[in-house]
Amino acid sequence: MKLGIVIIALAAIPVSADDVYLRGGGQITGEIIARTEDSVTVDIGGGSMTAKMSSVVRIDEGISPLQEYRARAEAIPAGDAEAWRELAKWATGRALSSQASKAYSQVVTILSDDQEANRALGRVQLDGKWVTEEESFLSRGFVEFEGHWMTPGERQAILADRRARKNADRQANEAKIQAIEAEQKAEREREAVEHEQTRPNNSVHWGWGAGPRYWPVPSEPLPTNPADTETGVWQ
Amino acid sequence: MRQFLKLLPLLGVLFAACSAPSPVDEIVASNLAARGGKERIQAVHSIRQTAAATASGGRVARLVREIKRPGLFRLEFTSQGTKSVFAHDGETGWQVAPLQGQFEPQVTTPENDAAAGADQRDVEGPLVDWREKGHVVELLGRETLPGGEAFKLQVTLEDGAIRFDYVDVESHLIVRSDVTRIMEGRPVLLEATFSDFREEGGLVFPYLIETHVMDRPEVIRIVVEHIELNPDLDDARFRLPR
Repeated sequence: MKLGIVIIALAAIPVSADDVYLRGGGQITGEIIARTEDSVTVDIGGGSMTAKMSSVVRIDEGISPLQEYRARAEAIPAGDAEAWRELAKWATGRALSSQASKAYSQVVTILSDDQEANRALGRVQLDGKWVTEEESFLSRGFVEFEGHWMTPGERQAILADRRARKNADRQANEAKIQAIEAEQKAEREREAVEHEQTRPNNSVHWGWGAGPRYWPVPSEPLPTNPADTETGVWQ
Repeated sequence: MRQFLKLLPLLGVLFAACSAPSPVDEIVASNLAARGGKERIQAVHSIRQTAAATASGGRVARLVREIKRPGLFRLEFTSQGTKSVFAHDGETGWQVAPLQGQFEPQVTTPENDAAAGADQRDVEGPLVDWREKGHVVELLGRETLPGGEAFKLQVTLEDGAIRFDYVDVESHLIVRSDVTRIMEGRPVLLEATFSDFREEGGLVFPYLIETHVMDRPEVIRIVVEHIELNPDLDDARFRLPR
């Protein structure tokens, strides 16, 4: 009987899942949704990304964790919190942040006070109620500034530092003020565009040697602005 | 001659003071002993750590970190269907990071290279033979941390970067390390705390590393699951692919 269930479950999984291997050891795993001679686009479960074939070393076909997640999620009966919890743990073990969050959200929908699921979603208890991490930061007096939570004092210090540097520049070279202001204006416009395209909380201060400077939050879509449009694009 | 004989006890005290290990040397020696001993530490030529990382907003990642003498480093960061590689061959840092829109290996900028910390590529840690490595270690005093008292050491690395190591007065292990990094154009103080110490191959390692920017609430939590000592790691793994 169990074997029958497994066979049915596997039969429901699409077979077009792939691992796209990049030069240098990079990898994209998910479901290929478009492929041409020049590029390959993969649904990674939090959005999709397109890599040029010139960056691709090889593509291995198989069943991706993302597709397995989707098949397993479809098979969960309504109201089965434990099945969602198990799937959430499974997704966490495969670093599928979006899918783990979705599964834990299902647990919270069924069991609103569930400690494990609330914590996994980044929620914390405040006055006996589960609130989002952002709400807890606000209640502790932190403010959000350019995508990071900090004390109002640190924000003021950053702004004061910038003003001081701007004034120093101004005094140092009055003749270049117009050029600098034009540059600053262009910089502000660039930052505004980047801020719009890069979600707050997505940049990280990694502290374990070389590591990522960007790590998307699962509840947010992937950015539409690639760091390097020469070699690949987000979609 | 009588004058000289009178000075002898004073000279003896001065000689003893000069030849006795300094407090810094004693603290460093106690730390190396607590980690398993200098001999065992120096017998490690490479290390592979497998870990899970979590951050605010429900972010999860799988990590494989490899370090090899001399100064070779590679971190594989797997999250949401992507694997990124951040590496250094001892001279050049490079990365391929699909999540950052980089699908081709790229040399890292000097700023990012410095932010990663040369000390992180030292498989034995900067306190081992710190004088020979050109570092300077000074004792700044004792501080009370949440877990107890600790000696605060200022370690000025050979490249000029400064880190502050907190050596627990009881366990003699480094329980916190602060570094200033230039990030997004300005200095931030990154605080890393180490706990859940366990033994592997006669050496002691922290299995929980929590990092955050000083006075900020967001924390990245790294839980080490497995440590391999002296795995066979080909140097090519660390070199920028051509």
